[in-house]
Amino acid sequence: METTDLKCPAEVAVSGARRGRFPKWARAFAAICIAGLCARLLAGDAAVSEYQVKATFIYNFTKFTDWPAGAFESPNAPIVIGIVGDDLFGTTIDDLVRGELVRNRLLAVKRLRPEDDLRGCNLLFISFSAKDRIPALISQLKGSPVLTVSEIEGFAAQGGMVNLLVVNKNLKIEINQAAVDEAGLQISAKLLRLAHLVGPNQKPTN
Amino acid sequence: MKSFRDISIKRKMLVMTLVICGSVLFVAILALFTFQILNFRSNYQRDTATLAAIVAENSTAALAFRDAAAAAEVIGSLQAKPNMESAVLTAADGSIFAHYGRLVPAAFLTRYPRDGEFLFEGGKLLYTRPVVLEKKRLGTLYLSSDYGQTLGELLEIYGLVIVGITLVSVGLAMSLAGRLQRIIADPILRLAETAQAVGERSDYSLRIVASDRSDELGRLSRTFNEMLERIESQDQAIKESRERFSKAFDFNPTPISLHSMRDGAILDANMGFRALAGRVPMELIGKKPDDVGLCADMERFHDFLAMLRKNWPVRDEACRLRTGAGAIRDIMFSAEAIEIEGADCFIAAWRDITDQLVLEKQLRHSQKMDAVGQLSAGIAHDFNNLLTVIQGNASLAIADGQGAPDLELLEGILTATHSAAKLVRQLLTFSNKQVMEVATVDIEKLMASISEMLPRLIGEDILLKFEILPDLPMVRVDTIMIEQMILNLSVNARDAMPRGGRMTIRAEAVEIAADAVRRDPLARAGRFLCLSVSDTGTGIPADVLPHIFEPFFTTKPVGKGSGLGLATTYGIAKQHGGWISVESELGRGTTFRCFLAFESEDPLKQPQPDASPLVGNAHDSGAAASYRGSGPVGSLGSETVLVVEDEDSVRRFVTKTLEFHGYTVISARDGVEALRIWDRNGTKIDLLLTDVVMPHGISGTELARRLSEAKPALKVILTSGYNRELAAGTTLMPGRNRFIAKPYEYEALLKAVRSSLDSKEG
Repeated sequence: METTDLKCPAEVAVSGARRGRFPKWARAFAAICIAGLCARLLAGDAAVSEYQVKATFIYNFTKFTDWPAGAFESPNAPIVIGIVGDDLFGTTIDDLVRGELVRNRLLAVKRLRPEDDLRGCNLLFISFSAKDRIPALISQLKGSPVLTVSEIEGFAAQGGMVNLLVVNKNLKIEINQAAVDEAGLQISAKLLRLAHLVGPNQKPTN
Repeated sequence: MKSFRDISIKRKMLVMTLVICGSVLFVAILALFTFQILNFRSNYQRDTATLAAIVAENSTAALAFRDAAAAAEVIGSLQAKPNMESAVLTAADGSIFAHYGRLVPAAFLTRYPRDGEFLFEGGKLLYTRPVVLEKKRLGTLYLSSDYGQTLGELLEIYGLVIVGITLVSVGLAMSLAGRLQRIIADPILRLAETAQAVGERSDYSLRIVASDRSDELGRLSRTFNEMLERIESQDQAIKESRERFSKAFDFNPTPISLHSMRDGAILDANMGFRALAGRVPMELIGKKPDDVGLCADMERFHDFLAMLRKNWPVRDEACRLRTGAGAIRDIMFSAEAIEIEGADCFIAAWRDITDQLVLEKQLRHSQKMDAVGQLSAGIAHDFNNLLTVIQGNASLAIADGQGAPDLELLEGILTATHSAAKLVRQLLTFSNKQVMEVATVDIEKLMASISEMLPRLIGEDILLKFEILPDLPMVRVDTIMIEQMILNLSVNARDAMPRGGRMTIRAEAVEIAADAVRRDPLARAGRFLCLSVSDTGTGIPADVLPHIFEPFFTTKPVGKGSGLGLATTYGIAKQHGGWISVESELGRGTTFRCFLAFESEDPLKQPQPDASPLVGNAHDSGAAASYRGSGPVGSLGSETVLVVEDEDSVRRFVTKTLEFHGYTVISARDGVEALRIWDRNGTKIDLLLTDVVMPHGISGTELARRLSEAKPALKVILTSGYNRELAAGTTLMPGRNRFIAKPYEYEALLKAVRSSLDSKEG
């Protein structure tokens, strides 16, 4: 599949430069360095990979989604992110979620083989390669509190919940609210406001 | 400029209300606003923080999913707060993700405070807020807001509110105060107005409009009204009392004056005193009697003052007062020390006794005249008895023609007795004991007859003038007496004008007022005929004047006047029920006025002379001559006559005369003896001839009464040396009894006896 560089602030580089730990002049200096770095990144030389961004989004979806109480086996059970199809993330997503706590739950990434039970996941990412299995997967997950995320055009129309599309070098979020509701999930209004809402019969724009 | 104390209660209350309201309100608003301003910073911080929290919360998704447009939209909502000057949202790496308002360069973001802190700088509030999602920092929100503008707006609003509230409150306070102050101020104002009106006009009939309020003001008003009522009644009582006493003082007929004890100065004088002193109040009030010459004998007044100072009352002390015109009045002075309002005073009563003294003097004089008259009458009585004897004996001697060698001598005796009788008549006239013949006379005719004979009497040097006023009423007088009176006065007037002059005889009707009686004790009030004789002669000296009417008083040389002229005139006037007055001024002349009653009042109450068979007419001038040619000889009657006469010689003369003419005579010495004789010989007696005045208790009239009772047919002749009135006044039967006045001639005696015996009266 085609990999696209996404414009993105160099979060990694910045993350270490916490405010308050340094004098003002140091912070100013750091800011100027970061600004310079950013300018270089934005120039395209150090483009962040598409799947790095997608990994971040997936990670963030866990923060804006409420699962019903019965979705987890125990209060300490982690939020399991399942990946169906070819894994284009590499270790990116693992690195991203390692040690992070969302709603007091750890995050776990599980790459699923076709025979694996989908229900062990809380969030299922269906990659481009599993395009053909979508109807089967959807029907298999029907009624389960599993947030389905994909990167395939027309995913929502087929009963998928969240779709990530690259438009003008930007990731565009589509959400099928009806499917989300049907699965007993709740997506934060803050996210809904950013997303492009689509129905099962709706033709996706762009 | 009025001070607060002087402005009206109404305004004071208004000002007080406003000051209290204003200051309380001011303090309250000030406290509120101070609190508000003190809280402003913390409130503002809180508001800003709240706002920042909302914006940050809403920016999480935009940051998480790198949606700058959505972030800008969220931050853009800050425009709802105009004081938000600028906002910057940075991503976790510090890059500016979205902003609102002025774009703040990233470098400037270092000026912002640390996370969650505030920084006030140059009228702006800077605030830094981290954007956190699931404990993970997504970015930072930097806010800058213009609190100075907000504060200014706030202060502006507060200012308006203060002004507004103050205006509204003051207005409300004024209107409320205006209404409320009426409740308190109006009654006080009414009270003050009424009190002022009462004070200015002294009108205690005013009242405050009745108030039924039961608070202090209501009580005050009612108490004030009650007080006015009491004052009014007291004022009325004081006025009445003052009027009563001031009138009792002022209109008191007794002259009263009030003096200061210190120097005797006059404090007040009533009308009576002013009239007595003949001075106006200005000449008296505040003056000392010494200074105004009020007292003719000042030392007396000072004696009284000394007495009063020792607290001795002064009672009826004589002193003399000088009037404003300079006349001296005799005063009975009484005084009493009193205290008036702490000052020592005395009140004095001045009783004017001047007129009283004059009257007393005149009364004494008149009493003296009466005594003299009485004396004269007594003398005349004895004198007449003597004359009767002389006259009778002489007449008998002549009638007998025996042993009368010297007829000429006897006639001389007779002439002398006639002269003596005339003298006695004059005496009797003065003493009011002369027998009168009264007739109704036209005074005009009487004066006409006088005017015919007067000129011969007074001579040619004197101008005689008669003034007879027309239409004079008739008078009842004895014509001859009046002629004699005018003649006497005219002779006196002539003698007073040896070198000639003017003599006026005047007759007029006059009205005598009651007060004139006080000046002349002889006078009577009423209408009188006034006959006056005035001359322009020498006048009568004051020391002579009181004596002119005394008998035998004369200023003429010996032998020229009898001293009985004016005395007779005085007697004639008195006998006519009138009186005589004299006015004389030395060198100017004298006026005698004789007042006689008019006909309407019978002055003498005596029978008409023609109805009375009066025999002894004293004025029968022909009587002396008639006895010679017509002397009756021989028996005239044989009846028995009882002669009662205490005087022996008279009794003998009467007895002899009657016996000589044939009568049987029984004589008695007095009434007692006469009664004894009557017991023995009563039946024989035909006539009683008795003297009226007799000793031993039984008068002639009493005797006549008793004998007439015993024998109604008895004839009675009364005889007396006193006048007929005296005798007639004591008899019960005036019509029956005849009267012969002494002295009588034998012929008159015989005539009276005969006619009495011949009369048919019983």
